[in-house]
This record gives sequence, C-alpha cells and structure tokens, in this order.
Amino acid sequence: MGAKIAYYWNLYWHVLSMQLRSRMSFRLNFFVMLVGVFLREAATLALMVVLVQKFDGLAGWRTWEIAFLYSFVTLTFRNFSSFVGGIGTIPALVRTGEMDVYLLTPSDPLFLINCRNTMIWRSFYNIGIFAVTLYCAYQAGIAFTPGAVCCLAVLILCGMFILFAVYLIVYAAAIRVVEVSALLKILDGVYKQYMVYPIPIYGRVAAWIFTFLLPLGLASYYPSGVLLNRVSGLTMGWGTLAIAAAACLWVAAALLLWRASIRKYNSTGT
Amino acid sequence: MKQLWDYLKVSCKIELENQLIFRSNFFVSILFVIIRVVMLLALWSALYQGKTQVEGISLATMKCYTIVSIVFELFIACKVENSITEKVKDGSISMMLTRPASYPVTLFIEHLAGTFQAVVVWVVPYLLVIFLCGFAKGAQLYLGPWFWLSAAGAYLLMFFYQFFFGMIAFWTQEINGFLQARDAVMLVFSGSMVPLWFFPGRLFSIAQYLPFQAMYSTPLSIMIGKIAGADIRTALLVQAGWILGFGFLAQFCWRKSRRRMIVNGG
Repeated sequence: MGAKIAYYWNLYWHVLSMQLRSRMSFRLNFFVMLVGVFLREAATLALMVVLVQKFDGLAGWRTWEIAFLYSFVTLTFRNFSSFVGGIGTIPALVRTGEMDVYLLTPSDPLFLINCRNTMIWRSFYNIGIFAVTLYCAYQAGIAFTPGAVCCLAVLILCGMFILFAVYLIVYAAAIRVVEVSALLKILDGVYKQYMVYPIPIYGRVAAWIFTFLLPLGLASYYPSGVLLNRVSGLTMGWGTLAIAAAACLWVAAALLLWRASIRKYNSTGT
Repeated sequence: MKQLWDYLKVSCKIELENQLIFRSNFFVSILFVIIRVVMLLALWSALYQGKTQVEGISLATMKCYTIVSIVFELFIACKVENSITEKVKDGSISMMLTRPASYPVTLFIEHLAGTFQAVVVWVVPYLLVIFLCGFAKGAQLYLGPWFWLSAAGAYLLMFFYQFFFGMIAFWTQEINGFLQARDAVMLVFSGSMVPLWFFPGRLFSIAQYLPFQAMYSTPLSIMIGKIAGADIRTALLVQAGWILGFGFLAQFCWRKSRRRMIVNGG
C-alpha cells in the first residue's frame, strides 16, 4: 500500500512538472492569465456587493454574508478545477477514442487522466481568492476561533469533493451518451451563477433538488449557512459533520458509478 | 458577391449541423434555457421583495432586462478571437491568406453563420419560453427602429473589438490570459450582468467613457426606455464612434500583424 501511494505521489509531481513547463512556454500569457482570472472573480464579487447593497440585502442575508457565500463558492470551484479538474477531459477522450490509451496503462485511469490534465498552476490565484474569502468571512461576522477555522477548512474540502462527485457522475454518463457538453454547461452555470445566492430564494422544490438530487447546495449554501449560523437546526459542528458525511457518500457513489461505466466502455472503433 | 453568399449558406449549414448532431445534447440545452430563466426570475423577485421600484425600474421591467440581456449576449456572441488564435497556433492562417476572399471578410461571414446558428438554436427557444410563460408580462418595452439599429451597432462593434484582440495572437500566440483580464473589465462595465444605473456615481461615469456600454447597455437601455428621446441619438452617435474607432484599429492591426506572421514548419 505504502509503495503504491509513493508511486502515485511521484507520478503526480512528475506529470505536474511537465505540465507547468509546457505552460511556461507562453510565459507572458501565463502571468496575464493569473492576474486576469483573479480580476474577473474580484469584478464579479464587486458587482454582487453593489447589487445587494442597492437592494439592502437578499432574503434576509446581509451584503457581506452574500459576499462570503460568493467567495466560498468561487474558492470551492477553483480548488476543484485546480486539483481534480483534469477529469474534465473525459468526454473529449471518450469522443476521440483516446480513452483506450488510459485504460490500457497499469495505473488507475482516473488518476492518470486527472494528473495529465490537471491545472494545479491555477492554485496560484486560489491564494488570492482564499484571502478574499477570509476577508468576507471577517466582514460577515464569523469569529475566527480554532473550531470555526477547522470547520471552514473541512467545508472547503467537502465542497471540492462534492463537486468532484457530481462532475464524475456526468463524466461517467459521457461513456454511454458521448456528448454531455450541454449537461456540463448546466452544471457550471447553475453552480457558478446561481449557487452564489441562498438556495431558498429559488423555492422549496429547487432547494430540495439542490440538497438531495443534485447536491450543489451542499457545496455552497449549506457550508456558508452553517458557518454564518443561517441554517436553522444545524450548529457549526453538527452541520460540518453532516456535510462531510454527505460528501463521503457522494464520492463513494460517484466512484462506483465510474467503475461500472468503465466496464461498459466501447471504444469509438476508429 | 455570389461566392460570398454561397460561402455564408454553406457556413450556416455546417454550424447548424454541428449543433444538432447530438440531439439529446440539444434538448438538454433547451432545458438549460428554462432553468436559467426560472432561476434568474426567482433571484430578481427575491431582490425586489417589499419594493415596487428601484432606481425607477419596476420588477417586471427588470426581469425583462435580465432575460433579454441573456438573449442579447447569445446574439452578439463572437468566436472570432478564438478562431484567429487557433489558426495562428496551428499555422493554418497561411492557408486563409492564400484564399481569394480576404480573411477579415471570411471571418465576418463565419461570424454571421455562428449568429444564424445561435438564433435558431438558442434565441428562438429563449423567446418562446419568455413569451409562452408570460415572463415579459407587464414590462414596458420599446422594440422600434432605434433599438434594432443599436442592436446591429453592438453586433458590429463586438466583431471589430474581438477581431482587434485576436490580432494579439500574432505577437503572443496564446491570448487566453489577455481575454480573461479583458473579460473582467467588460463584465463590470458592459451592464450585461448588473445594469449600469445601479452603479455608484463614479463607477457609472467611468463606464460612460468605455466601449463596453455600447455593446450591451445602450441597446438594452433603449429597449426598456431608460434611454429615450434625444438621448437615443447621443447614445447611437457614441456607439457609432466606437464602431469606427475599433474598425480602423482592427484594420491597422491586421496590416501590421500580417508582416509579423511566422508559420511553424512552413
């Protein structure tokens, strides 16, 4: 087991260093990109603050609470795309038949696909987004006690893994239906544009869907609500535990589904 | 001229077939349209809770602004800069230069074909959802000639603007970073996400001196009556100025960049 972990660890860093070198061949673009992405997120946050301030809050949430929810969602999504976003190439691999190559290697295909295409260099600007999240948390009135800091760290990780599970389920579906770009567009759009607001504003049915069926709320509204004490009936500690348990369940389900789909994989035959 | 027209017809057909090749994907796209509309309306209803008007704009008008801004975004969406970057990177730009039709003209025709596809696949379903579900009910809208003129102006401006940015690829090969930085500024000052009249005074003044408001805010504000009377003419003149400015700039950069072109392996 130890040897296996060491093997994957070395492989991960080896592939990563290759990827970083390839990125650095367009050095100017690389650095402008880092600034650009941070600017984009900051601009969206600023717009949201302007909007919510104009309307004196949203559904009982104050401006900085909404700003915290927004920055939490952004941070979770950015962490997801930095560390496990490499799996996003699965539909393209299925479509082109390149998936065969990954399935024939002795290493775990999911791991290889992820680290071959992962964008860990993006974590440079995650640092900036993390700083903004902390600032928004402070402004929203979250006390930085050791317990709250632990809960925040766990909830960010849980959010990342819930997104991993949801996206992996869609990618597993790609093995059967090949084209899932519209479905991914829905996921991206709903998470990045609409989960940045408290989900009860979308109505009971939508809130139920985003909690149990498509658990994007577990990576946005609930963790932020738990930290801000805005979810009735859930304290910070119990809320964190419940979200962590849900994250484990979703990840396990997604991995099972992925394995089942891989067994049914048919190459494009080209 | 006939050749260009034929090229446009073929491009439209290809764009449409590309979009419709995976039918299930197409129907899921329609579902996304409905989800997006429903969620946006819920958001604005929550924001307007207990208020009849904010900055002189009613909830019904604001809902309409938001939905039409999405439709408008789809209408003027442009892939010109990506197309140029890809061709510069893989060297196929050299093939484009040997064609009898000029490359900018070819690009504009492809842009028109992309718009045709967007109108058929996205804009029409959007409008159907909006009107069939009565989302636009109660909104005071102006859909007269000034609106269409400003919409056409925004379309043209977006093309020249993206063409100009695409030229950067001749110098840097990869422009994604520049686009991210530019989109950040555009997102704030175009009024596509949050209408400019909700901005604090200084930010609003800055927006007036930038080209982005001429892309989204001008046509949308004319549509909902926020710009009316003599102000329409002023807004259209400003928009025309930006179109001419970016048109000349794009032409100038195109001439310069052709001399800089390096084709890998050629």
